[in-house]
Amino acid sequence: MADLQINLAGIKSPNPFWLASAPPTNTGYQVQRAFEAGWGGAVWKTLGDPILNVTSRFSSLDFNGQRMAGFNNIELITDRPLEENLREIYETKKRFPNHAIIVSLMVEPQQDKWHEIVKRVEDVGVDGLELNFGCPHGMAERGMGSASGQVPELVEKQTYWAKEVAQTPVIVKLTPNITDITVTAEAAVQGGADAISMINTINSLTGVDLDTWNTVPNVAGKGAHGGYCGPAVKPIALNMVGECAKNPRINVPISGIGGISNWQDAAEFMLMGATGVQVCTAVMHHGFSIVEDMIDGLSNYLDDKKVKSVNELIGKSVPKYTNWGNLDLNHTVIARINNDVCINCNKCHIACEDASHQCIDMLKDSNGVEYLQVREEDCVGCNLCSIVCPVDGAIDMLDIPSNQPMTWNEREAVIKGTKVKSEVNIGK
Amino acid sequence: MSTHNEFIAERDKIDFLIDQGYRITAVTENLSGDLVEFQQVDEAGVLGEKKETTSLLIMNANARKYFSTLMMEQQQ
Ligand SMILES: Cc1cc2nc3c(=O)[nH]c(=O)nc-3n(C[C@H](O)[C@H](O)[C@H](O)COP(=O)(O)O)c2cc1C
Repeated sequence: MADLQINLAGIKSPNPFWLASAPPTNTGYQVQRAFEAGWGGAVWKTLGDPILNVTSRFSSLDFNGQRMAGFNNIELITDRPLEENLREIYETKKRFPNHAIIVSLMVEPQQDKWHEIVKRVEDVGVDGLELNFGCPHGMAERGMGSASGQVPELVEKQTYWAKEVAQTPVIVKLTPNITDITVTAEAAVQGGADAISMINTINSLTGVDLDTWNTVPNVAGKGAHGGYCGPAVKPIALNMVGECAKNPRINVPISGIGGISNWQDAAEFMLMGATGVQVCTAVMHHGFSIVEDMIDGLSNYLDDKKVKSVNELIGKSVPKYTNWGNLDLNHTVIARINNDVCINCNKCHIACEDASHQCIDMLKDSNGVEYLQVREEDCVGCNLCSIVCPVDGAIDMLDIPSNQPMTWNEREAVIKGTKVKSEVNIGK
Repeated sequence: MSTHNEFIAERDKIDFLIDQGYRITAVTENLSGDLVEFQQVDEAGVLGEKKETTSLLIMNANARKYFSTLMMEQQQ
């Protein structure tokens, strides 16, 4: 059986599955039950000056029968006194010495405030700290969370203040509410971060009630933007992890967060450069026990792949993730419809006709039976037909490698080069 | 005309010039596509001032890939 243990910047954990700082890590009762269920680590619900919450707090984007495809919240950090949290952290660590307890922190951007909370939390014995520079609502209006996480200088400075006194590894949790997350990731590294984690939630409004015209969620008829997470944000998070992993100046481990719901998602984040993962929405939806399938699934996958340790996955797909200008313009992909599998629903024809390159013909065979066929010479290989097709195996996308690969960057170079050369050759 | 037929038509024009001993000497990208300038090479394969020049406006996307692939091959 493959080894699932990880070591993230010195924080050891029996497996790569951690609970993200959120309602499931609000109390010792919950974190202890999570560890019993099999979670390798937990990032405690963010500590700071205890806040006051509103009700209601959550809303969900259900899509085509899938509940919680996206999840929105306007909850703030912990509303419980520091002493209570610290006592429960101490008790939990005592009961589970081999599990990772990381404590999330958020205070105002002042050196003495960071020093105080870091020292008090580390005094009870924790494995690491996570600085929450990400919550996009409420706390941000008070200059904390994403408000300070969007300013690279503040990320660097606050990380530096935490590191001035921290004895345990410091993870900086980044906000996705920024154009280029590598800028704040680099600032965290400059400030001395031992690791970075991403993503926190994305500014969002779930919807508007068409009867009352109230926003969803709302508190007594008034709404405010929340933070979006769950399966819908996974592609955004995965890209951000990849962007950081391929940046040579961001040379610290990454804890991947955002839409992770199963072992496959976790493996994808690790392949894109994460050393471990954190999960929130999937646990809020299905409970702690999902970790059993995550552990079994990942373990079986590694065995099937003959990979001895989960650490061997880390970053393996990063060299394959490049810029658009380095992709081969001459590589061809074409669609081919398998008529013995196709159910003639015509979705591919409609999609191609209305939204792509009009290259799927509706034909009739000698018996008058309708069938669909791709005019391969006009197919641009966009994938739309296979994406809309409801039947697995009905459309294959065939790869046709090019004889002479040519990227956009190479094309630009050759065109510019020819201009220079021709001027010399023709003697102008 | 289908996009593929447009490609074939433009590719054939490029191939015709190449067969006649022309080489691509400059490309100007514009809103219509690429203006590709050709000049004939002499027997030694060298561009000279007295040789014929001509140009093609290549508009089809695949044809624009095609001539630039030829240019890469020319350079290799
Ligand atoms: C209700 C709720 C409360 C959250 N509270 C915190 C918090 O206190 N501190 C923090 O760093 N992140 C908080 N988060 C963000 C999560 O830790 C996580 O970054 C985000 O939900 C993305 O992961 P997911 O898609 O698995 O949910 C919260 C998320 C939710 C849904």
